[in-house]
Amino acid sequence: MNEIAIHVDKVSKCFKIGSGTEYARLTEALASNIKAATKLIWHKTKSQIRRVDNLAVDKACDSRRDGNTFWALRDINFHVHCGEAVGIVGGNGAGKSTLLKILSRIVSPTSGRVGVRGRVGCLLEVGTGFHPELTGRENVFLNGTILGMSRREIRRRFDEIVSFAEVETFIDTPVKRYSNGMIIRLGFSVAAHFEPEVLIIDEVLGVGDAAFQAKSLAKAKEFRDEGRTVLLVSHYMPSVIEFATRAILLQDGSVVADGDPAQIVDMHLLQNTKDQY
Amino acid sequence: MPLPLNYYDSSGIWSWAKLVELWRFRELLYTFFVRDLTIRYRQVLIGVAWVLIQPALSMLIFISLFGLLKTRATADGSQYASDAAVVFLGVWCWQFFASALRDGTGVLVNYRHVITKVYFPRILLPMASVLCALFDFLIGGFVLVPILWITNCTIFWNHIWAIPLLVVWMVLLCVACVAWLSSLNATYRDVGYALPFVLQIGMYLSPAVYDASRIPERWMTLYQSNPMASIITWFRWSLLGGPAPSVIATLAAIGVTALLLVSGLAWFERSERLMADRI
Repeated sequence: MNEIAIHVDKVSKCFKIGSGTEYARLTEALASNIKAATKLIWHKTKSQIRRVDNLAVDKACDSRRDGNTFWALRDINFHVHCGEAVGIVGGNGAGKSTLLKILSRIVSPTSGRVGVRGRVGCLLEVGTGFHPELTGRENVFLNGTILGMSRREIRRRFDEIVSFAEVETFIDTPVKRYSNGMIIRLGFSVAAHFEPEVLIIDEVLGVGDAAFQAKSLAKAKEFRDEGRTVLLVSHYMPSVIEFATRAILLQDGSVVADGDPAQIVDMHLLQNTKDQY
Repeated sequence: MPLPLNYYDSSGIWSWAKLVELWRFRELLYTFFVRDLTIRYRQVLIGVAWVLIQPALSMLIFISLFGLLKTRATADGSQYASDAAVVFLGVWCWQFFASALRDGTGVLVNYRHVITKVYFPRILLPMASVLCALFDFLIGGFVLVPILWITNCTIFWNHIWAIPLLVVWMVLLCVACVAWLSSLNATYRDVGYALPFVLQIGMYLSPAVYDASRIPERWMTLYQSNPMASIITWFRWSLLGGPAPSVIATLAAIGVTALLLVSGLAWFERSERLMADRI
């Protein structure tokens, strides 16, 4: 078996809900920090009791609410080995995007830990950090370094990036004069020429039309065939079956199944139809 | 060689690994710095000249004001030949501090679309603002040459070695302040509203437009434990040969800076974990 590329270890993430007022004032925030700290100490000493409490709450509400906290993810555990292409499926609000954000370190888990080998590339949204006043060239360098490329790497692949995006003649024009299509093409081109050890693709959040979605899937396949690790989140089940070597089904913030893509997709679709009727 | 499996969780403490990571991201700091500079001077007719005009104009205004009031920026019987260089030095340093804080405070909120999409050490954004202000500060220094020439002042070459140390001190002070302010501003926008007002008060609490010699002796140590007050006075000492702050006051000012820096970075690290959720 290959080495482990991603290790998700007892990861939970909770959000405060309906509490715009709780953190509104500095004094209240300080007070609630102190409260949280004492709670933590309490929690550690009384963890046994606490766990029983949680179970009780779960049964009572049958949902992910716990007072005014909402568990987007609860106790997620899995490994991904190097070279695997894993599809993550689940209904709306199952926690897919939160999981991706934790894996790419944008948000940190409430508890548990995540281990990743190498750099994580994220196709959550293309053109992150593009500034309208900067030229195409300057934006390629800005966007590339934000994604995690080195300037040398960008310089080396600059011509490829520009020609892939088909914006050669406008490369020294400020991006504010670009069409939307050109901006998306350039942003995608930068992301596509980044070669991280782990690539995360969220088709749900991906901007652009069908052609663009097809392009990003093609990119993912290229990555998979090179033997890199790819995580794909999609609502379009055929592409999961076609692309992934393994799938994970998330439901209400927990992993409910992990295995062969075709079987997982069937389970997911069955679950969906059950929910509808 | 296989890459290590790097773990991260919800704990946020400053560690060696964090410094290593910052070093790994140094190119991003440079990119942010270049971006901020480019954006600032794009579609600006006279460009960098603004940096020269601002402190020079402020200095002229204050000198004229003192002239109208028939008073001086320095205490009676001081050894300075002219007030112009004294006031310019103060205004020049203060404007660096103020613009670093002004730009650095809002930077996380301005770039929240990047913060919620991609990971990098967030401290790089406010640090880039400080670098930008430093760039303007260094360019602005060229105005000193004509001022000294016109007013017939001589530079005190004996103490000139202290200038780089003072600049480093000032940069560390700015980083400390923006670490606090930017992360607080990410959650509480009040910080951004309060800042201009606080900066204005701060300017009069520091010897920016007047000389520290105007402060009564018994308040001096307290007054100069304000890091900016100490820094500006040391600046005048090293360039123009004015009186230096006392050792106790300087140590206090350095202590305040160190405290702000350590606590600021620790606080920033703590709030960094929740930044994408709260901003």
